[in-house]
Amino acid sequence: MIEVILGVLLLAAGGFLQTGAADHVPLATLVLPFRSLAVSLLCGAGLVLLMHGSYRRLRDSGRRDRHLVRSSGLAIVTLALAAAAVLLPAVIVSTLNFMKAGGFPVGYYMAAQGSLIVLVILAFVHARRQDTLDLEEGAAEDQGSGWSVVDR
Amino acid sequence: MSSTDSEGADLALNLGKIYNLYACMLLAFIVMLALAEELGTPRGTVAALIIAAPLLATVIAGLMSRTSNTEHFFAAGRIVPPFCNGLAIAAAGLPAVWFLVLPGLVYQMGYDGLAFPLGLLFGLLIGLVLIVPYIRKSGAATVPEFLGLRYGAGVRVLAALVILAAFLPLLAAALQSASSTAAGVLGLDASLAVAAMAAILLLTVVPGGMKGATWAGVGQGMVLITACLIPIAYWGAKTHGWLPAQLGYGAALPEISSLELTLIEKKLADVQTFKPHLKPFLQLDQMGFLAILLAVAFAAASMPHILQRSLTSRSVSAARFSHAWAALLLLLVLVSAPAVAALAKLEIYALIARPVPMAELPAWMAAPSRQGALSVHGVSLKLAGETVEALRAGAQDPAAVGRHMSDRPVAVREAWGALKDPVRAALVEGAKVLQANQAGDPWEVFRASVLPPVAAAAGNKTGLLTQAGLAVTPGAVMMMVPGMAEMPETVGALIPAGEITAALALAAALLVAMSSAIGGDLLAPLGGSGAPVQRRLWTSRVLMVILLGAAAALALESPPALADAAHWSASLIAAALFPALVLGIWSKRANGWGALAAMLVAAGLCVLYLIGTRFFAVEFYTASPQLSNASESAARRFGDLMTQWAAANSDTKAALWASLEDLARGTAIKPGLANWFGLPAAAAAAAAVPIGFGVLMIVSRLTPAPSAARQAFAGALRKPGGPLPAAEAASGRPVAGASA
Repeated sequence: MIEVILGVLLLAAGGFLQTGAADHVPLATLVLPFRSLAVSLLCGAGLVLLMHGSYRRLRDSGRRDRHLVRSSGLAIVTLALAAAAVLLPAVIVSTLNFMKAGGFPVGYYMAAQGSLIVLVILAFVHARRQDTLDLEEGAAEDQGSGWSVVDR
Repeated sequence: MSSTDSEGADLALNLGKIYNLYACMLLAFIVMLALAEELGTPRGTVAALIIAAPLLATVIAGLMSRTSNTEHFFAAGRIVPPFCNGLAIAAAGLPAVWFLVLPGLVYQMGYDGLAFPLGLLFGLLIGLVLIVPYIRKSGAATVPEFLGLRYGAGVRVLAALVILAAFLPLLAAALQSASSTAAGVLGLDASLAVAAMAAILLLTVVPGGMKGATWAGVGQGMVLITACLIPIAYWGAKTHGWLPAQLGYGAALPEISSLELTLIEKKLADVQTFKPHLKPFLQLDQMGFLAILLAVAFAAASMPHILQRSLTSRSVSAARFSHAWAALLLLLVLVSAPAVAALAKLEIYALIARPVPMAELPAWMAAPSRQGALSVHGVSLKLAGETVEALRAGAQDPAAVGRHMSDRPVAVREAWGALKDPVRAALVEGAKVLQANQAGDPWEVFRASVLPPVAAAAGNKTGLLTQAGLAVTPGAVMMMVPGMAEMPETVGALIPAGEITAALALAAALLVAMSSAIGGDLLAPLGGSGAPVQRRLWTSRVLMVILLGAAAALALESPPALADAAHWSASLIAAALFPALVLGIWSKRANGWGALAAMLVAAGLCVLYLIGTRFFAVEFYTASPQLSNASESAARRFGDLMTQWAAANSDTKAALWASLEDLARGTAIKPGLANWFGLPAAAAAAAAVPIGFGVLMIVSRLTPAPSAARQAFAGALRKPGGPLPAAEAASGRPVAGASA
């Protein structure tokens, strides 16, 4: 658990440093000349700690409950993909804007439509996958999937 | 559970038929009206019919959902199928104001305005994955009830109070939005419009509670989607020949960029203040963009009225799919907003680049100018009209007019106050001309005789409309679209109809959430679990009337702070509820003390930041200058002004204080000097939520663990099927069984 928290804090620190929000804090000015290097180190270390910590936690709790592990895994994957689809294009938007598709600069397109479409697809895929998972692990409800469109 | 459902069973069997019928009738109605308009029906009648029809359908749905069964009144019988629920969620989940304002935001802010729709859908997904299915399993009917089951009665009461505090302004804002749109389009008196909207809401929600709100909401969702798609499809097809305008408007973007260059070359745009449409991070910096995105996401994931809708689904799996369908439907709405903004910008920039002299401003500018939403060099037709009133009351010179203005509503006062003296003088002269020409069309006289001198006084000697001189409020862009695109009234009136419907859907959902919060979560535990069923129903109904009355009074008053209500409420809800909800489901160790602490600390910080940076900006900055992202020069300027203020005598003190305030305070999205790490006020939740998580975890570890029963309850939430062990009956109500 400590690992997870530490990982998140390091990632946040890296993010802070990257966006220049903390430039006036005295500690940060020491690091400024090596900003990219520092950001990569912080984010990399944070990511590693986060993943290892999550894996450890899941493995420990998974000794008792497969359904829990698989659901948590699915939730993490979905959220990670969603975050990537939303936050990544926003971070590198200026670079993306050099490419054009159908008149749209790609960076702008991602924010206006692309990320949104990915989110909707993820929503449906997640719901279906979770239903299948529940069925496989014997945790499903008697009524079955909610996938039927209107009513019976 | 099935004994309650003779009501429900009939409805469930007929749902498909009912809503297919409704959809067909809606389309047939629109076609008929289009024909009638061709044959000569006056525009006013067409507009009135298009707006009234969905409202009538809403009222009918509400009345037909009359019920005396608590299961239905509070949770719509839990029979709502996913697609229908998705429609209802979409209708209530789109903050009503966004339908009008989002295109305007993207128009003004370009890329930066997209943080809001991105945040909304991201939040919906987060809610779907982390929160929705699990609270459905708990069998609760409202969010505070769930929190009570998981954490205890104290948290339940606090959550209900938070909901009350956050939702009342939001309800008032939604009511005001609906009534001002109706008043503007139909020419009604403002108070009459508010009363009419309130009456419609009452008829929708009082007979059937959540049931009425849900079924009306499905219809409202359909109207919303129609209102979104048809007008813009018409516009896209007409001007550029694309049918899916949302995909085709990419071709317009390079045209906008080249028009921007033309405007700069011809000196029709002020290079220093000009903002290219596609360039990101001009209004918000990158961190501000991400912060606002996250804040909106946290709010969307934990909004009680949306979560309450998913609690009415048939099953856990259905709850997931309802959210997914809502995301799809909202996608259609949110994707249209930038398209509208791009088309509008194309139209307006092409107009300015022509170039166009003031005396020949197009007719579609008349209506927004009359409402004060469109101004040239700060002067709108509404302001000119107010000046004429002042002249009639006997004022002769700008100073006297200024004194008259100080009695007028805030918007007018601010508009007058923003003008510089030469412009005021020119306006007064122009108003005299307007007064003399009573017979003519005010708009004609305005653009020919009032605007040119005003523009000259403001520094624009060319007599042409410039980009810098034109100012449009965000809400006005969408309202200008029917005029700009020369749409037939049938198509054009769909836009205000969509807005009013969305506002009423939101208002209904909020009203149900608030009345359940007071009736079910605050009063019921006090009254004991033995309260007879009928009394609970009638308590809720009476509460709805009282709350609606309060909101209507607020809407009539219309204080300017109401516009901020949206992001204040969202921040408060996100900060208070998101950590408690997520950790309640995903961590067995989280306990009541932790939840209470997290809610108080996070919400408290949020409120501190919001109120501090808005109302006490100078004190806020001086208390914590090290945390602010103010630049060296700005800080020095502030320091100088501060010393001047301290040394000044009482005459100039007030003026100096005002300039200090100006420096320190920013807007909701762009902070002034008073801030912590450059966080915009609208994004306060983005920082408060992680802090809430931390506090919850720490305090939970430091205090005794939850009881074994509660921990088992938390564990069982994660499995859709399977039994739900009863948590302690601290909430005073028997726990519902597993989803039935």
